[in-house]
Amino acid sequence: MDIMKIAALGILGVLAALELKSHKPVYGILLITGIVLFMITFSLGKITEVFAGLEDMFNLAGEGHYFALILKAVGITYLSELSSGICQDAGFGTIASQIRIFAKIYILFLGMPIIVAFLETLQNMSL
Amino acid sequence: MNVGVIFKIAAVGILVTILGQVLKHSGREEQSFLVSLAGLLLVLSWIVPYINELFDTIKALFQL
Repeated sequence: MDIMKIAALGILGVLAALELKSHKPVYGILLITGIVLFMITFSLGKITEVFAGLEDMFNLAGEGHYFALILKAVGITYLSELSSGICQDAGFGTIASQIRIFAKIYILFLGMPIIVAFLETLQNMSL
Repeated sequence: MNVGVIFKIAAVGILVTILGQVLKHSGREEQSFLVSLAGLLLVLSWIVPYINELFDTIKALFQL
């Protein structure tokens, strides 16, 4: 089963990284980054199928153009979570929180047109 | 992206640690620093293409 591989790789990697971190911290972080990269490429295949299914659902509901925006928001969250997690592991909390804050601001920036459109429809409805 | 990269990183890390200790205890501080720097650059040269490939796939997948 795939989950067994991921779990085993994670535990082994953490143990090896702990050993490396005590002597040379840089290699611990590099090892963790290598493992994270491997896990992501492992799961990318499944993510593409999930998004294909989601897209069909959205097209059925007739809200196709919003799907791209949601996809972008998910992508931003994914990437910022990945990079801020690695920075957090390396011990640099400030950089990690900066990345998260920027991701939130960027998603809000992306979502702004939708909020405005929603308010307009609300206003037209109430007249 | 195969598992070999991870094992190579771990191997380089262990090797550099041992070499560094040996060099340090034999009185050659600078060499031990150079060895760890070389190991770091080597591992970075392995891992940077994968990071680049990852960012491209994510950009394509999420239409960023």
